[in-house]
Amino acid sequence: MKKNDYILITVLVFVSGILLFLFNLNKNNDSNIVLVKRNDTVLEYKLDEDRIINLEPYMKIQIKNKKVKVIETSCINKICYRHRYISKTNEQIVCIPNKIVIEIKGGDLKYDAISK
Amino acid sequence: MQFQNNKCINRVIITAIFSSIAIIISYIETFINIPVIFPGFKLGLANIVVIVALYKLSFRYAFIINIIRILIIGILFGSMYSLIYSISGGVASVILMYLVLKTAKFSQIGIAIIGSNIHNLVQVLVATILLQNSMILSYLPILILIGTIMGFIVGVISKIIIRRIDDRVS
Repeated sequence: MKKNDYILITVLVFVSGILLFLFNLNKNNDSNIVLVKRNDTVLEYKLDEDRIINLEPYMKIQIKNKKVKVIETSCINKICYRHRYISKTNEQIVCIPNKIVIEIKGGDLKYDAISK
Repeated sequence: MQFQNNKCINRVIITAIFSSIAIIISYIETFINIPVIFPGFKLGLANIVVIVALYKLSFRYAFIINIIRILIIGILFGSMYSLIYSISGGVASVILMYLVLKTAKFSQIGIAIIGSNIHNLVQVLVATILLQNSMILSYLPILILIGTIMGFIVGVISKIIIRRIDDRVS
């Protein structure tokens, strides 16, 4: 019976490696915009410019050195705060209590910090 | 020797004992916060109890013990969302472990690895569906790796415990 276990472990490690490879193909350096979404409001900012964004029920987001991090929040679990920075396209930081999704997208910024 | 006493009170007692041990193990785990990428990351050591129950008692016991453990820890320490993920993961995990056990093709170690990986996988899938967010899937590779390692550890410990129980009884 132990033989099947070895096969299982090998297959799993293999699958894990393949998934890792596939997922990394997507993340490229075409990252430009930081999107901050709450319900239907979307704010856009450039990734290149360092700035600090203050949001309503108290959440501070910092864009610095092309990295986005949450520096202060009012939510209980502070999961978004413990999350490391995000810097690549499609990476996200989500704060469910505050209903905020911070996302990095590629492409061009149409205006400067707009809300739709 | 299989546990065969069918008196109702004995069934309740043995279930309670196993559940308590599983709950205590899970409780201690809530303090172990490995600062990995993933919030809410738990070592699944309580599966040891579930696997021992699968081998020495029956599927029904293992199932109920797992549910009780997940419910109590989830209600005490988790949120509504985390409860939904955990229950789905736990149910799928026990059922699949039992099915694999019946085929008798893997040892306790293989079953433990399968159990923990299924638990993680189902949790991730349910979270993806509920949150409408497919970014969580990008955690799969590391989840599989860590799930396999932890599953191996759980399997080894389960194997030792089951062997000790067998030795004592015979």
